[in-house]
Amino acid sequence: MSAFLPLFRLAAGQIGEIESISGEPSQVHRLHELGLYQGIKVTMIRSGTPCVIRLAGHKLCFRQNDGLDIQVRPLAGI
Amino acid sequence: MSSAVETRAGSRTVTIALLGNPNTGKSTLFNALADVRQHVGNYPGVTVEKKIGHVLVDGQRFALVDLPGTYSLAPRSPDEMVTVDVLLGRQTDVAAPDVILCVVDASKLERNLYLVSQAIELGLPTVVVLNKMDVASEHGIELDLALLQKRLGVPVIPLQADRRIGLESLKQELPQVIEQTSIASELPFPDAFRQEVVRLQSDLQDASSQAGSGATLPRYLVERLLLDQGGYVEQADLPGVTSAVLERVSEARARLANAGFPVPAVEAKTRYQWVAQMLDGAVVSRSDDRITLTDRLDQWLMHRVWGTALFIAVMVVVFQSIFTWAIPLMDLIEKVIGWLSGSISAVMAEGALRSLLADGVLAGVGSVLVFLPQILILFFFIALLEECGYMARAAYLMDRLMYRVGLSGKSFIPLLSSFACAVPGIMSTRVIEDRRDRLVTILVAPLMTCSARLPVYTLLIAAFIPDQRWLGGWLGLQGMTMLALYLLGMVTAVLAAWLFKRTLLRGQTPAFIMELPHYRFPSLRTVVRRMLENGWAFLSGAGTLILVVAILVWAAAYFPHPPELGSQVRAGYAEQLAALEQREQGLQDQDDLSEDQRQAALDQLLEERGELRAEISSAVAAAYMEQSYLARAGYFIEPVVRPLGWDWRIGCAVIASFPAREVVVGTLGVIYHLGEGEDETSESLRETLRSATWPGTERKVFNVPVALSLMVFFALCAQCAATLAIIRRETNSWAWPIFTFVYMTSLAYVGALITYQTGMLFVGG
Repeated sequence: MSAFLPLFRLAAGQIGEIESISGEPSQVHRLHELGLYQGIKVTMIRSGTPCVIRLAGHKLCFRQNDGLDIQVRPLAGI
Repeated sequence: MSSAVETRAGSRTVTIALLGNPNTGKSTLFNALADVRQHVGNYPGVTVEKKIGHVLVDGQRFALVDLPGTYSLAPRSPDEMVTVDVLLGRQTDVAAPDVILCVVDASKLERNLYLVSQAIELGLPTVVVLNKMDVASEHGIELDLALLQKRLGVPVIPLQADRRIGLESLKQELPQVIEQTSIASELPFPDAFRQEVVRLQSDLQDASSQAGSGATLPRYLVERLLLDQGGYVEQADLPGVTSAVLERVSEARARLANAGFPVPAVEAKTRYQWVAQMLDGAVVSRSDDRITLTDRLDQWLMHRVWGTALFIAVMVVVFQSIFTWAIPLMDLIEKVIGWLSGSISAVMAEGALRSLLADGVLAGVGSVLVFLPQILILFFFIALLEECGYMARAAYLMDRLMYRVGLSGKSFIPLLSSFACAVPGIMSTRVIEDRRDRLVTILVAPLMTCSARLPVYTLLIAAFIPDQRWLGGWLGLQGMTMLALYLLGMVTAVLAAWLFKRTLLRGQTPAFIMELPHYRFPSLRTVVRRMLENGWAFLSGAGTLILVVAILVWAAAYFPHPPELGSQVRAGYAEQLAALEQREQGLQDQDDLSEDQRQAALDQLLEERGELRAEISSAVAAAYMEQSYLARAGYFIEPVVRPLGWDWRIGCAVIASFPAREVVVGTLGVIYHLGEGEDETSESLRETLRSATWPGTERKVFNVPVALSLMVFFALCAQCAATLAIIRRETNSWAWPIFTFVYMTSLAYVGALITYQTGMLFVGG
């Protein structure tokens, strides 16, 4: 089993640490600006498309597109 | 700063730029600070609204510039470039700011300070306003303000803008801030990066002086050029940014990547590292695991089943309110306008001026004002739902649905609002950040069945669709026709959106990210202000254009107006009038009648004369209409509309309804000799339409296929000057309203053509 999995595969309640974000530079840049960057911990609140995640005290609704790949290291689950 | 010394003397207005993330309460602060507010339209060439306010503190005048909420100063579009240009003093129509007021959400400091880190790089005196202090403490966040201020090197002021707490101390701080000398803390960009910036700066200088301009780019923009791959700075035609320099930029990016500082990751890394340094020890947060009220509410409100059910319930209440409150208000406005126009007709002598005032100006004013109740009520609810934080949840719930069309959840409310009226629908697309999504939403919003189409549908359905009922009256053909027309608009909108996303506005759908703000109690003051601002934006942005169009159409329907035409028509009735007169005379001479009999006969005569007079004035109006420029246009387009089953009179009425769809009802009334003031419920108008024939034949103009073809045309056409005017205002270009008109009219024509031709196969004409 791989140590990393795509962000949207996290189950509700699971926490993951962002390992890498790759894709079109300007989009990756935008995610950075919203606080989604390597090393940050993300909690999946509602899985699915779009999903709801919590990071650094705020909640984001997020729908990924094909051009982006966010890998996370799962930390804990409920 | 020398300017600061001058300011002390009160000789100059100090300009303060308000900067901040979305949902930080920046606009609330702007409204609370400014004594005088002005909205002076958009910045040139973009869709960003220019908001400027003024405030007087201790005799010193301050101008406040409210910038759009943003997460970063890394421009990707002309719209985002405006914010950077205003801050750098490059936007010529706004005074260069002397101070930046950076509004920060105290409960989300980490992400908010990212923007602050960019703001302090601009080299202007900066003040950090920590808003929502109450929310921060609710979330278990404790702040050491003195430490934070020392670290940042700029004044930090705590505030609760929505309750006006801390406002006075902020105002007292302002005069000192402009003399601020403290040095803002420096960002820990790696040396390799700094060297590349210096190198690029001299490259730019060389390129610029070679071109003979000598203009230099501010250091911040040089940084952006290096950092923003595919960003707007690359394309913005800035001094010195030549293809050779862009070549250098890619080389520099490659060198940085090799050195272990790839672009754009180096920016996030550096800035968040700086943020962590600033906050370390200055912020104690115990909020990570705390379940807040927002979380508890979200468990229900964002639930796929319960949340969706509640959302539908909210929408039902909103639209019910529009119909309960707006419709009577609209009727009232129409009545007042009708009364005014009646009074003008009674007071003034007949002529072009009277007609201009009564049928041109007043009708135009009426067609502007009649939109206001819906706009105000819809925006009251939109502002309310947005202020309390629910709107983001609604967008989340509807995203799955809208994604199938190629849009995001944020397009749902604008499209839904368009069922009441496309004008507020289009105005509320401002929440959609993605330019393409926003444009597609604007383009398809007018296809939603707005309330102005109802009079047209009501008239034609009642006149031509048989009142057939099934299932004990529950299911009726008339109702089904209405439903089909609603569905036609919706399905066409979905298809058009899908098509636009794949052709005209093609491009990769960016990832959809939306902040879900904390719920809070909405401030009524803010909600009402936003409602009024939108109403005013409509009146000032679209009102004049609608009025002009209404007057032009009036002129087309009135002129050339040869005065002898009226007397000619009247002369045709002279005999009938004379006959009536004779009978009256005869009645006077007759002696063998009782008083009662005489009275009854006189009443009878009076009634007949009234009817004849009405008939004459209708005939005069119709005669003038028939020779007007509008009718000539109707004749001119008859070959084009013939395949739709229309005669010149319908063509003419459709042209006349360009300012607003509902006008077609009144115009049909005039053109079919019924006089003015007929509305969609008028039985005589229905009867007249049913019995109208093609000139010189017994063949009826209207049959079911013609009525359907006309309704389909109105379902799909862009016959609404207000919508087109608001599209122009929102897109800041004439190209989009023209495109909307052309594509919708083409759709309407083809739709009507298919309807009529198919219909005639069944009816057999």
